[in-house]
Amino acid sequence: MKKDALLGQSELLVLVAVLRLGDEAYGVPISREISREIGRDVAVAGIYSTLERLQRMRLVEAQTGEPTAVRGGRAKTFFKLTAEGLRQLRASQRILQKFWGSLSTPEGRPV
Amino acid sequence: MNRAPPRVAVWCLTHLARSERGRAILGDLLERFEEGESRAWFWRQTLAALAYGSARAARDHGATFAAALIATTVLFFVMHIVNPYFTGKMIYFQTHGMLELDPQWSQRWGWRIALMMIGLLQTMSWFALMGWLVTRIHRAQPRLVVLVSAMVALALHLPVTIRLAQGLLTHRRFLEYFIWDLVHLCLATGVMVVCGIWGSRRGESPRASLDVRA
Repeated sequence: MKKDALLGQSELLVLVAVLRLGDEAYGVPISREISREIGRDVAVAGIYSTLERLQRMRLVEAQTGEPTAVRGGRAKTFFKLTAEGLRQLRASQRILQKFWGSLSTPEGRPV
Repeated sequence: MNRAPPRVAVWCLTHLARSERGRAILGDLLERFEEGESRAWFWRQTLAALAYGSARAARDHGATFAAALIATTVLFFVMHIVNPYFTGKMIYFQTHGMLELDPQWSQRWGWRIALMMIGLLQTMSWFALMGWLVTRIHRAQPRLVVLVSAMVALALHLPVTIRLAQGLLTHRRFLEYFIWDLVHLCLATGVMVVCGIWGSRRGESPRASLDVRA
């Protein structure tokens, strides 16, 4: 049976952002989405580094868009989750929920 | 209000991160800058991109990247062994030969500037050699490696600059040496980067690519 690779926090954040953004998932909205969720600015290069890693793991695929004037004539690179990426994201979600579900406060309330 | 992005930062990203990923990052930064991000934000992102690029270079081509940085360090220390030999000769010439040639030489700016230029040329030649050599060693990202090597050379020289700055606090006459040291460093580093870029262009020549295929 093929083992799932363990996804790190940055990989999970990027995968969820790509999933949320759908067809509009490229560097700018991805970085903005993650910054908003974690409450601080993130390095755009760091996001690309994570995306590159996810591409190597075949969890996302990239597609080059059209160049635009606002970007100094540089094209956007759009990202999309692969079927394997979606499966691994759901697997990570299940594992995390299971873990959190098993925790409780000293008073016995669920965390 | 000036809304042009920092030119130097754009230059760094254009020339140091020439991959597809580098172009996409620059496009994203320009787009967010147009949407209202500050110049300080642009610079922070540029430095982060260069740091990620260096880490990637070190990871993907670790051996040549490390070899290039070691070569810079070795050449820097060799320079500090060889230069004082010539500097010693020069000081002897200043104190003896110059007086024989022209007893009033210390009053004449022309002579003093000429001797300072010889010292500068010495350092610049070493830095040029460093720049050329590192791009021949690490061909995958020559511009990035020459920038990182220049930073290594500056870091190695930092103790001298700090000593001069400390001297400046006690004696104002150190100001001349301090300024000359900074000029020296800026020019030498500039020459190193230019020679590195020149070396990398030579590396892209058809003959070089044939060598790589062979």
